[in-house]
Amino acid sequence: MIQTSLSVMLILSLLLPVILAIPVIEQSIPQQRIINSLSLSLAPSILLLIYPDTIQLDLDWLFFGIGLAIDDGNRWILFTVITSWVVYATRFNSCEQHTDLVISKKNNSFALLSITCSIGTILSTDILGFFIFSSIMGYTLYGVLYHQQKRNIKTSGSLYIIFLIIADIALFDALLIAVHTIEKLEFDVIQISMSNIASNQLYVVMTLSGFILRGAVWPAHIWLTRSYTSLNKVEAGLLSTLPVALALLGLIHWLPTDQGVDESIAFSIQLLAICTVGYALIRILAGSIGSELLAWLTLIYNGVFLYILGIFLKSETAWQSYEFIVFPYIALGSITISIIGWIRIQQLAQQQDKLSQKFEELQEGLHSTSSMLTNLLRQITDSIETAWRMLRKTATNQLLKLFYERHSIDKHTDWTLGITLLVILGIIIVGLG
Amino acid sequence: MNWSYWVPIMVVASSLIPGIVIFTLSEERIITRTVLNMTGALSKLLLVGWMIWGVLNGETFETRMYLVGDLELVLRAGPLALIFVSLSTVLWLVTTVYAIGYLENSPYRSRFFGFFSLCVTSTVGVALAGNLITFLLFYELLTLSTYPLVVHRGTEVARRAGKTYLIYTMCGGALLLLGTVWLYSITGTLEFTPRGFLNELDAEHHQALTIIFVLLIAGLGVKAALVPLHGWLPQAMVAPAPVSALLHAVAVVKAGAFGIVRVVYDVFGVEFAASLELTLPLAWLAAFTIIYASIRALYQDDLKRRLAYSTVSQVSYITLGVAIAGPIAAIGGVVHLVHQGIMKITLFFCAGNFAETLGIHKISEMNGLGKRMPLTMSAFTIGAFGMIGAPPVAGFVSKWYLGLGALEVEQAWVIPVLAGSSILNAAYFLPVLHRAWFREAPEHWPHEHNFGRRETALALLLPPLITASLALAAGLFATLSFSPLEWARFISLREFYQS
Repeated sequence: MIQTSLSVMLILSLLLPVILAIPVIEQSIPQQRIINSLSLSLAPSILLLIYPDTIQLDLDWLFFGIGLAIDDGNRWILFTVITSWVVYATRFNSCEQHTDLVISKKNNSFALLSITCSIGTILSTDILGFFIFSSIMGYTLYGVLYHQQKRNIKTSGSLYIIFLIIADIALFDALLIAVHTIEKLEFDVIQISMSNIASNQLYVVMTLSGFILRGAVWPAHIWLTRSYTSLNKVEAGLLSTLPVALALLGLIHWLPTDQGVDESIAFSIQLLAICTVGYALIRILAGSIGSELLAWLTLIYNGVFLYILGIFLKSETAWQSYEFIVFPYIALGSITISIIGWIRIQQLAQQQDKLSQKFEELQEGLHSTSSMLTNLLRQITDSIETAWRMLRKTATNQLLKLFYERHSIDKHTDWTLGITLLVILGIIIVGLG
Repeated sequence: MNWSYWVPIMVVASSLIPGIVIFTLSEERIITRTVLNMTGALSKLLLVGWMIWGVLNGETFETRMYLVGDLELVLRAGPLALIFVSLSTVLWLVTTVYAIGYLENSPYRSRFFGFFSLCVTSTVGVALAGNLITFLLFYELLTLSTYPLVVHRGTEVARRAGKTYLIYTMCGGALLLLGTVWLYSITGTLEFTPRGFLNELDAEHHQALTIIFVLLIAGLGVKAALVPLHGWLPQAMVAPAPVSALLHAVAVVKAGAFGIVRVVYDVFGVEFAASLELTLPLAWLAAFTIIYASIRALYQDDLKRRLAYSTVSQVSYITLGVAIAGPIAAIGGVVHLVHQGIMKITLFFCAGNFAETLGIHKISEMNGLGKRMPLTMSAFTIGAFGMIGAPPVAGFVSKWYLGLGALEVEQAWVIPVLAGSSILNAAYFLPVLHRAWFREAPEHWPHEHNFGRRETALALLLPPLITASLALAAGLFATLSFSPLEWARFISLREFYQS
């Protein structure tokens, strides 16, 4: 009985936010009910969090068959995510922007969908479920965070979405390699099997690329730093606890931490980790004390995690010995950063240092280069199209001329051409016989 | 009475008879016309349901009639036929409801609905065709019945688009006819057979068969809008929204793609076509079309034109899936026949709603549209994400199987094509969504119609919501029995594993 109730709770933790998200699109729903829905949607997840048992559920009918489970490890991450959403819901209640009711409703819908997907990502027991939920969360989170029409928010939103799409493609490719090689996609199977196969390296590289882009590890951190400077503090806090923390979670679920990988890959990860931490420290020492500070702290948190991950991937026994600290690290680390950042931002005004300006210039440069490239592509395809059109016109005009001269089609009998052609077809068919 | 003989004819007649009767009705007979339309659509749905049930229980539905000489008109309900016929039947019903709402108070409705019914009759005929000659007949009938729909508005632009459409498709038809006649002269049969009927021919015919393959694919490639035979499709978007929906999702484009599937699977046989080294160039052409058309779509400000280029790109997934020549890719290709149809029809319905309700035709006019038409825009969002291939919408399932299929037969070059296509799809759909959901709405829309509390007329609102839900369901519940994916698996199994 308890097991059934818990299974229902597991499904409800995903389903309830979706159900609550749908009606808010309709314009006649009262404002107060909308605000309550955000808090209400978290209720089943909170129950899952406080019930101390392991629960597992296989949903064979959903998608290609995905599994959901909650255990001691992912309960830590669930705690972080619920805390973030509770903080966000509180902010939503007290927000002064409610003058534009529809924007609030829309944000609320996106937030509810993000809640479902973030919880789904945590509860997934296989890499397919993880990919699906985290991918949708990425898009819905865009609606939560980048809804304002300020120029800097739009730019950071564009960067966020570009990184998200490329990361998704890398992870999709990793998924294809995994299915192609081992078929079963549960985390424990992946952790053991993926180290023993020939395509292991490509799988690991794709997985790493995907999560490095999503998790904002140096040098793919630009979207995060830009977002922190443009978004308000509560929204920016969601970045550390949702896409970033869940990317780290993805790394430990997707990579063969149990069996180890090629030494050179593990070494590269550690090198990347050192660069990430080093770079963030330099930026902090150089005087990044405004909103960006939160981003640099996140980078340090990511870098430390990556270094530890490198150790796990090198040694076959490290994971079994130290697995217990990984989940609390991800959970508490991201929350701590958010809290430090929020306090810090309130104390200090935003500052733009010289280095940031140089980065701005670099990004501007990248932007203009990409515009140039797209223009070039457009010109090429335009000229192909024009050449083809001219070729076609020359050939068909001759054909048409012949045809029209014989039939002299006027404005009102154009469709009779069709019947004529049908008759011709009939003649050909009879001719065939 | 032998029902299994008559049911295929009844399926064809269920739209043909209402179509002919509708032609004779005066413009004022709105109720009669609506009743005829809906009765035809619903009865076709029931008959197709009957056929699916029968086929699952081992029954054979086949109609044979002598045409000329030895040539027979054959209608047969095989698994491949049923997946296409189900798609066109379900979407015809939805499109009929939409068209009734869309054309309210507009002139020449009897003519429109008459040809509309003929168009579906032809599509169903194409789907059920049991041999190449029957296929060819209905394929050409489809050209002729859709032409008046393309030029329905009677404007100069529409007439020009119609002319282009006719030139392209008639030329395609001529190539198809030539290929068919040549094939018949060599083999003496045109009967669609699982795994093809050409593999036992002598090697001396192989060169001729290669040319025939090119002729048939070129003929079908016009309707399937393979580059460089795609020029008619972006122009044909001047047609009314229900026609565009029908052209892009159900009838013309799909008939071309379905024809390619038929030629590769049931005429040549995929293994034989691969042994003649015909499938790989076809896959390359499809891949080029996917990327090229996506790049073209990026630069279109006209919403329907952007969607048209998107169709050119997306329909080639079907060809790609077939041409990769492996069982898993075949699942991806065949299932995309259905998935693309559901997703694209949603997008065209929404585009029609924007035009009819607010007078919006261009993407640059779509600022804040999500606020004014949230339900339609939600449906559009689902369709767009499906096209990008984002989970859990149906498009993801297609891309998943295409990618896996490519790896299975060691054609890994397909993966970057799929990735590139996803990026380009995102690049031309996401800015539209951003504009609609996040930008400020203008004070006045170009031509706003007031529908009271509703964002638009119910007949216009329900169809995109239904098809968007279907696109979502086809992804979320992909592995359930009767899902398009399960049918596609069944077809692939038959093509690759059953003797």
